[in-house]
Amino acid sequence: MADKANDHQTRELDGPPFDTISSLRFSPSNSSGLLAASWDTTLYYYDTRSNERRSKFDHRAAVLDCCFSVDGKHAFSGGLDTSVRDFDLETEQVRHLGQHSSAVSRTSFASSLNALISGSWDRTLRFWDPRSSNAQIASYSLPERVYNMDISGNTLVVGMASRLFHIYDVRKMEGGPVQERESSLKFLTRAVACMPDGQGFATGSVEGRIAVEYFDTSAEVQEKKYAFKCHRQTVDGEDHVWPVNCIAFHPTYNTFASAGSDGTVSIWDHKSKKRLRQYPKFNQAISAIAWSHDGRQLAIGESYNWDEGRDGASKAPPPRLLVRDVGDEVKPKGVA
Amino acid sequence: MGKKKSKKAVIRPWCWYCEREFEDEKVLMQHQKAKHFKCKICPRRLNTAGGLAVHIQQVHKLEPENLPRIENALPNRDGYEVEIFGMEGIPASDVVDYKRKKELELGLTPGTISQPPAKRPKFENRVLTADELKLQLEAHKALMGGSEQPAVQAMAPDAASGAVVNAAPQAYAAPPLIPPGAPGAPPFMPPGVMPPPGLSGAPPFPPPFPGAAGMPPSAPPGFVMPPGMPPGMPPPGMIPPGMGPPGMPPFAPGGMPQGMPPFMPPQMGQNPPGMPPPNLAVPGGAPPGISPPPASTTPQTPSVSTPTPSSRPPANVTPTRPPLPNPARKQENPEMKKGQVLKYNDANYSPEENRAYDPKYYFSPTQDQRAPEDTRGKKRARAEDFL
Repeated sequence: MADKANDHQTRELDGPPFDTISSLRFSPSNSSGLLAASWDTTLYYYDTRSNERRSKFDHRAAVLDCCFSVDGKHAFSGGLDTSVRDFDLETEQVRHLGQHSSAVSRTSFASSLNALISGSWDRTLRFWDPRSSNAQIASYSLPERVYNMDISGNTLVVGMASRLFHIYDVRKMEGGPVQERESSLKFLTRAVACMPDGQGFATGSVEGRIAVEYFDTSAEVQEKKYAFKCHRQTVDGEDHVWPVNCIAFHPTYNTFASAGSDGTVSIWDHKSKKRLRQYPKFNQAISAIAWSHDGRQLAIGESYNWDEGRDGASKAPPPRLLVRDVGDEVKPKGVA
Repeated sequence: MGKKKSKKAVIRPWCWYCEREFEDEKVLMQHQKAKHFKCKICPRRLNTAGGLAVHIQQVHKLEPENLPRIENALPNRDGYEVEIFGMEGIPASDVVDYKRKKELELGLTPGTISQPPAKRPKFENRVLTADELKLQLEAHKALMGGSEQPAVQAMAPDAASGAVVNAAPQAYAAPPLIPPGAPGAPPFMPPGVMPPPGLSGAPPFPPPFPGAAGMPPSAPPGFVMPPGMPPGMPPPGMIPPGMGPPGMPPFAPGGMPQGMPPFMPPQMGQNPPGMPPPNLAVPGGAPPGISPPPASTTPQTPSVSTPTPSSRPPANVTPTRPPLPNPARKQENPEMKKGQVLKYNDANYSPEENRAYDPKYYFSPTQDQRAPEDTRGKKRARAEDFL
């Protein structure tokens, strides 16, 4: 499988994180700016075209998530050290925006509010204004630990422990969640991604399955929701069922990519309910994926995901950070 | 994969040319050979910039003034004047700058990062137990009792004269100051042989710092107990106070002689690894068998105690996951069909949560209390308590 890196469409970035890649995010303004958060306690900023590591920012503990500001000039991070940080990518200046009382599991940037949203295992969502000296704007408590979060327009979907989901309108946070749902999947929620067209979201569980759900609560729309099996592998007659670690919607085609601990990345067209492509198997689990804002590149973080705890960590090969140039294979069939 | 980084502030080996960090010095040297000391004309890779210069001049017959700049280097670091080999040869001023930058990034108090990027000794290639970490932390705190001022002074001549920092850990070890209370102390003690004070009583504990190869079997000749030492106590690590072990923060000189609470070392020395140390969080709650501190040192008791709140994970106990916030919502995975193997079975905690409580990654919320912004004020106050 070493040929993956030689595949002309897939490039391996130099200077990858040396522990699990927890999150990847492409810049909203620059199609080659890529952030990678890692368990090696560092946030990295790469240029994928020139294959250059522009900067890195150390943390005091593992970094769990990162995101860009809407102009792509700042990066934000959160992790086990419970701090929410703001990095100026040009001057490399660091600012501590504030703190959660437990690990910050997710960060998202609400471009409509120009605010940073962080979700934590302390069961709160906090909103931050990075430009203000007193950055924390608000804190909203949740019933459970935040595992996943994604935002599309003003709709924020929060996936929590105990298979809970809250859907918010970020302009009306005070009124509480617009919808509270239980996952349509029976297992621990692992990934959430909102459709760029704002119609719904996809979620993945540890039990190799993805559900496609819609926001509209009317019966006929809700009827369209479905789930399907994926990221499974038959080994010696046993069906190995792997977690779906990450889902990412293509910014324009409304298709999505899913990555699993089975070491595969698949592209799905959720409208026609078809798999468009499955990329050749990678060396190990895929812990994170991200699309560039122009949808031409897919960043793939290949690293051990703690599915088998500490034992698995010693056996896992070192992480790799790959960037794949994608073409029409990610486009729904029949679209010009 | 080795342990990358303890929770304390430690700098990884880094490349002077491009300020990249590496897991260990071996990788750093490979990087330098590949990225900076590669000959552009032939495939040869050299070990140092000087080597590369000589190679280009002699093999490719280029005049010295036509030497290409070092590749992939930061501006002003692409010359041949400085002889870099791994971490060796880095100008002291650049080391100081780099540390400042790191501290800023990490949100640490200035001066917190003190461990020189040193060659990684073999035994460090594993996760320290909570107990060991605790001991190290205590030793570190004892040394932190000293003011930061002398440390800066100690470094200053180095930086001013443009001296280079050798890779050997003792580069940062405090100079062997003779404590005022120890007139007969030897004029010079080789740096690099001292474990931190207080660890002397725990032989099974591997020297946690590079170069801490062993202990002299007995106190050096002429060694005199520091003032305030209760009689019958073992000498604190047989080190003239004021001399920090290599790899420890360079706060020791000046601050140590009087500032070191004399009861500290025995207290820790009586807690060999494997025994839960006394709960230092309770002021005055010294475990039985340890004489209470002399009256003169009483003010130091709380200051020693306060930085060790009970929220730190108890030694010897691996960090434990908190219970479910709402047990009523506890999840049970449905049974799998026959022939199916579910790879991740925990229905109530994500892999990240389980991982966060692995000792390798665990981040104590106490460290967290030292919030970046207010660290400075609090730290200062504490240091003053010692003086």
